[in-house]
Parts: sequence; C-alpha cells; structure tokens
Amino acid sequence: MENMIGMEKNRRVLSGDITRHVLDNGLVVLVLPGNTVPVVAVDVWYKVGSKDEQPGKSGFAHLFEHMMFEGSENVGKGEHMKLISEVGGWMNASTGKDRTNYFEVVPSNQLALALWLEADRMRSLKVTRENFENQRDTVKEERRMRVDNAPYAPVFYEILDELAFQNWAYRHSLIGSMADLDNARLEDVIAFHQRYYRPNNAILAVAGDCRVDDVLALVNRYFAAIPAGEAPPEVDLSEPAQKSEIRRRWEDPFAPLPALVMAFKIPPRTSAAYYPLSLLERWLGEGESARLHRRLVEQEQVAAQVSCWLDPRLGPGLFTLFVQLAPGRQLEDLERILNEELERAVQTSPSATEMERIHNQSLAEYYSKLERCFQKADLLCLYQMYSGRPEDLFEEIGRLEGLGAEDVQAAAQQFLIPANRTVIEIVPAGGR
Amino acid sequence: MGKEKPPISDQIIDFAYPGTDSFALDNGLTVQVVHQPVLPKVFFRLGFRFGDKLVPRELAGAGDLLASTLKKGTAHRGYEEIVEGIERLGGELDAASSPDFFFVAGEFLAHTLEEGLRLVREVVEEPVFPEEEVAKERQIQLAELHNQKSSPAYLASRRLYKMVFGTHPYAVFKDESSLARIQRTHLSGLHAQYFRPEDAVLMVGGDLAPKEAHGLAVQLFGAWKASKQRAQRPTLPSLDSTQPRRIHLIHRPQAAQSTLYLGIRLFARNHPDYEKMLVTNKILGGGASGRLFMNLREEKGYTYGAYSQLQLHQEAGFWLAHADVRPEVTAAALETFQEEILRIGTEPVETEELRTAQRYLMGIFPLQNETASSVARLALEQIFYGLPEDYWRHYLERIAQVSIEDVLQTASRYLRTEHLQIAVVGDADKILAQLQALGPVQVFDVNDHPIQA
Repeated sequence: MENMIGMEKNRRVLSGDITRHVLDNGLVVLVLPGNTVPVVAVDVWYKVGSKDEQPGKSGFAHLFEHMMFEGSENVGKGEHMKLISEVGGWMNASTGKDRTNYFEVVPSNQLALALWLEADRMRSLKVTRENFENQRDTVKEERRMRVDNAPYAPVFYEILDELAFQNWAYRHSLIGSMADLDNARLEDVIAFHQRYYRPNNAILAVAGDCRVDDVLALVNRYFAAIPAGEAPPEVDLSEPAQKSEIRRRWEDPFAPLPALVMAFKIPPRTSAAYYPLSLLERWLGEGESARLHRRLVEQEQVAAQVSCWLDPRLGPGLFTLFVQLAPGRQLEDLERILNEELERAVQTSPSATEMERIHNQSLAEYYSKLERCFQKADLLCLYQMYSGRPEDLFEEIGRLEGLGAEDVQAAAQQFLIPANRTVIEIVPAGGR
Repeated sequence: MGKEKPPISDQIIDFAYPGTDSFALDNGLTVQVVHQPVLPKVFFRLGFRFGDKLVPRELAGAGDLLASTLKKGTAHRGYEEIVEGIERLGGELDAASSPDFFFVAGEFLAHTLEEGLRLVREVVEEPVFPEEEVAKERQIQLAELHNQKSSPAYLASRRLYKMVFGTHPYAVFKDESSLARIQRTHLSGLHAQYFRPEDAVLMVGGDLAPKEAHGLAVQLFGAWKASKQRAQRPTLPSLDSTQPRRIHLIHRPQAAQSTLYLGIRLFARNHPDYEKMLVTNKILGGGASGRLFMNLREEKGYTYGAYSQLQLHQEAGFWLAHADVRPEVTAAALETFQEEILRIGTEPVETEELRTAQRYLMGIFPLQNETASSVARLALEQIFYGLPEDYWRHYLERIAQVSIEDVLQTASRYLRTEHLQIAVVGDADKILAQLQALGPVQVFDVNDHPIQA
C-alpha cells in the first residue's frame, strides 16, 4: 500500500468543466473548454461498428465510413477534406468493432465550419450508385494493400478473431470479405445511414479553445433539426466460456521472419478487471526494461521484437502478445522461453521497482492524453459510450493507482492460463 | 434551392507565440525554458551543433550509430540499468542525428524530473559505446539499408540530393562499406569533439518555472567542462555552382511506376525570402489544392498525387517536387511539372489562390504549437538556424504580408527550370526513349553506380 500513498502524493489532481447536454433528438453533446493555443477539436462517435453487421454483409460499417466523404446536400464530393485542410486543420475517421468516429482539429475561429460539415453529412448524406461503386472499389483496393499484401496483417485483421471468438459479432472481419463487399447493395447503404447514423445514436464532443455557450448555440443551429431515428437493435455479444487452448499454424506469404501470437480472453472494458489488466500489460510489455523485452530480446536474443496490447471492447476482448523470432532461432525455443516468463508472472508478484515503473508510466500516459484537444475529445466520447461517465477522463486514473503488486499478480493468475488463450504460429510460406 | 455556403472565418487567428526564457551557464550551455504549467510533466530537448555534415565521408552513418548507441552504456552503468532508471521514473529518452544537428530528447513527470535529468546528464556526458552494442546496431542499420534499396522514393531522393548538392557533405549517404568501417573509437572521438556545453542548447518545456530550471541546470550541467580551446571544426567544402538542367534515371527493372523527383537549389533556412517562398510553394504544390496536384492528378490523371515542398538546411536547401506516374506518361508528366514551374514565374496568381495559401499557413501555426514540446522545437529552430530572436512572434505577419507581386518575383527569381535537376526511378526499357526526347539522360543502377544506357 506504500505505493498507493506515494502516488497520491505525486499526482496532481486534474479536473475540467465538462458540460453534458442532450438535444431533443437524442444527440449527446460534451464540451470541455481549455487550451494553451487557439485550437479546437470536434469529434463525432456513432455507436455502430462491425459488431452490428449481419452475416453476409461483413465490412459494411467500414465501407460506410468511406461513403461519409462522398458529399452531402451542401458539400461536394471530396470537399470536406479540402475545406478542412485549406484552413490549416486536419481530419480523419476510423471504424472499430464497436464504434465509428469522425473528427476535425481546426484553428478555433473555424469551429463553425467543422460542426457544419459534420451536421450536413449526418442530415443529408448523398448516396448515389456511382459513389457507392467507386468507394467499394477503393475499399477492395484498401483490403489488398492493408490485409492481403502486408506481412502479419491477416492475423490481426481476421485470423485471430476468427479463432478466438465463437459469436459472429466479434468473430468476423472488420474490413469484410471480397464476396460480401461484392454483394453489398445500394439499398443497404441507405438503410444503414437511416438506422445507425441518427443523432440519437451519436455522441458529439468539442474540446479545446471554445466557449460552452458558443458551442451549444452552433450545435443547436446545425444539429437540432436533424430528426431522431428508431433505437438501433441491441446486439448479443456474449461468448461461451473458453475451455481449452486454441492453436493454429499459419503460412504468411509476406512475413520476413516467423512470429508467435498469443492472445488471452479478457472481460469487457466496463468490467473492474480492466484496471489490473492494464497494469499487467505494462508490467510485461511496456518499455525496454519490461520483462518480455529484457528476457526475449536482450538476454536470450530469441526475439527480434516483442509487443503487447489490450483490446478492450463492449463485449469480451483480448490481451494480445506478438513476438517476432530473431533470425536463426527456432519458434519452439521462443515459445518455451515466453511460457517461462508468463509462468514467472503467475508465480511471483512485481517487485517494488517494477510497481514504481508501472504506476509512473500510467501517470505519464494519463497526462499525455490530456495534452492535445483531439485526444480529450476522443476520450470524452469513449467514456460516454462505455461507462456513461465522461468525467472518467479525469477520474479513471484513481482506479489504477489504488492497485498494488498483489492485484497485478492476481490478474496474471486469472487470465494468463493456457486454457484461456489462442496461439498462432506464423511461419513464412514456403518453409523457413 | 441554392446550396448553403460553408461558414469559413476570414478573421485572422489571434495567436501570440508563447516564447521562451533564456539564460546561459558559465560553461557556455544555453538553456531555454517554455513555462506551461498545465500538466505536471516536463519535456526536454538537448540540441548539439553537430550533424551528419561534420562526419568524415568515409564514416558516413556514424551520426546514426552514435544516436542509437548513446544510451547503451556509460562509465558507471550498463544499458539495462540505464533504461530501467529512465522507465522507472515514467520517462523517455531518445537520440537522433540530422544533416546539421544532433538531438537528445525525452520527458519526465514533474516530480521525477531531477532524478531523470541526472541520468540524461550521464548518458550525454559519459557514454562508452560498448563494442557489442555498436556491432548490434551496425547490423540493424545494414538491414535497414538493404530494405531501403527496394524503396523507389529512397533511391530517387538519394540521387536528387547528389544532383543538387554535388560534392557538398549534404550529398553524402551511408553505404555498406562506410558502416563497416565505423568503430566504437570513431564514435567516442566524435563525441569528445562535438558534445560540449558551448555547442549545445538545452530546451525544457512544461511544468517548470524559469527559476527552478536555472537551479536545476546549474546543479546538473554546471560542472560539464567547456573545452580549453574550442574544438577544431572542419571547414566544409563550399557548394558547387548550380548545374544546368539534367536528367538522371535509376534503372529499376519491372518497375510498375515511374517515380519522379525534381529539385532546384535554394537558399538556407534563415534567408529573408523564406516566407515568400513558403507561400509560393503552397500555391504551386503544397497539398491537394496545389496547382501540381490539380493539373497532374485532377486534370491529366497521370498520378495519384503530385506535391512539392521546401527542404532547407543550415547552409543551403532546395525545392523538391515529386510524383509517381504511369510509365507511359513519364515524359509528359515531367513536361507538365515544367509548365507549372514556368507559369507561376510568369503569370500573377489569383487573389483567391493567395488567400487560401495564407489562410492555411496561418491556420496550421497554432496547431503546430499545441504542446510545450512543439514550442520548444520551434525555439530551437530559431537558435540553430540563426533566425532573428523575435522571429516566431512576427511569423504570422510575414505570411500575411506576402503579395501577388511577391509570389511572381519569388518564383521567377528562384524556381528556374534551366537549373531543374530531375531524378527518375523506373524501368529503363519502358521509359528511356521518352526521357531522351527531353534531353540527354544518364543511367544508374539501384546501387547508384552509372551504367551504359
């Protein structure tokens, strides 16, 4: 418990005035003013991801993300990007298993422009056959480039989820199969927008240099008249308990070196287990002094690189390790030594030095996330969606620093067990 | 019903560059502080007036090796202890070499800063470059070099640097034999010669008041010894005179595209015409609304994208334009590039084009200054390139003042097609004849050795 007292002493308690306002059409608006420079971020999360797709229509949520740049009533094709970049701003969008987001970061005198652009496409997306076919081809090209032609990519885009999950919602490919993309119809696109891209299924966050009254006035002007839709159907994300290890060997046509992927099932992001798990991930894998890098890369020189990450979701997620074999070494040796390290984590708790590192790194990451307005806006949306508590942006760190070495070890004992894992041995195609 | 117009603001953004507090220690170390106590962490960046240009030609790549082995061991502790020390404090530490300067940078939590900087001091002042770590890093760089040879952009850029800078060290690139020559003694030699307080600037930014920064700097770096006599710096060869237009082709068998890199030698970063050139380039080729993009991609469909940018160093620089095009339109695309370069130097640009370029350059400035570390980066740029002390305070004004006449004069004065250097990477079997119709062509292989056409 000494750690905890120390951490409280060293953490500056940060807070901010988060305004939460819900429009009559159901749009949740979050505003967090404050920045050292005249820059503001606008971020819209739609609560739709690949989990909402139907069998035979994989890849739809992501294909749709592309359609959102094809123009709306007052914005021409490609004009969104052009308008934002011409004022010196930047923008992007991304699709995940649970959600899709769209954002702009602009000089704060251009806040109205960013909000107007988001409202125009929420209200009046222009869907034509030509745009649709054009974007479907673009997505197929993206698939070829990102998934089919890149080393290790098929494992993380598709193979791992297909092995680890039984429930189709998380099991299927986010980018979609070529066959499903070919079968997508224009009517589906229109129906998708009507069902999911409604204000009542969205969260809008504005963070940075702004005044709450100005933001709410602009949001009212641009978004209030957009009609609500019916509540989208709930998706069952439940997953049968895993009883034994799942294992597969996969030949990668592009991998320069063999690699080992080991993924452990973890509970949803909203579960209390998330916090010790996030410390466990740091303990094993965060930095050059963490156990996995030190043992596998530096001491045994059996790995060229090692990385690990948590992928928490609304439903069950994964804690994944990716280890690339060092040239001239054997995959069997790598797995044996990796297993020794995982076993050591189960048997012995982190040292005081390791706990100090873990807590200080968590604190450093927490502060870094509050450094730029885009990250703040994105996290406000995330917390609103997962916990309904945007103030977790400031408060969640408190749940991490209360944890000690025994909690981290307990998480290792609960989750780092062979029966809970999926293992993929990646070998370069055509032998080693 | 007509379309609604996008609500774009024409009001000039009100942004005062935050600036720094500056002082010097007795040993010559300059320290600058960006005090932004928003979050309890502190960024640091220690810059040295040492860059790849000062490395002997036969040891090209020593700057990169020095950067990657700097934290691999000191007189008092080994690599494991160093990284554990940094990471235990929630800190980060990295080093990088560039043509003109060398940087050691990272950050710590406010309450671990002092302990962290103690380690940084040791790494910077007392590195030992252990033999086996140097050997390990050399292997990594050789592997990277091998990978780069399959990158058309790398091949084209390397050739263009040689065409633009001739015998100047900016045109020197590391290769297998130079990497093989570098020994740990070379690294410690360079370190002893150039890593000195009087040639360094320490930038700190974040939750640290100038007074505390002063105390910390004196305590940690005050005992760093200045050399009795200033290190002998080699005299760099002066730049060759500008070459007439040339075309060099790197033959890459079976290349599915031709990669075009075009360059015209320009002034150094601290030239008074910099902002005029920045606006001119934005109109010509900076981004998806630039003329190059509009013509080569939107109008002619030769390419997925065509852009240009300024590559300015301490002694000189160049204007760089590039595009990947279908092999059959290689020569046509080069002609289009030349037409656009000629046009911006002979016809005044439209008012709206100029305003759009200025709005972009002014709008992006606050975005580039959102963190204390980015402010510190600009402050270091001001010092190292010898820009006026109040440079960043008047930067937006200078952008706003550029006129249509300025753009015309800047383009006609600096962007002269008779000095255009053209590097093409592509399949000679498909494109050599086309290129020869434009003028004489010299052909190279992927190792950059001349071959018979």
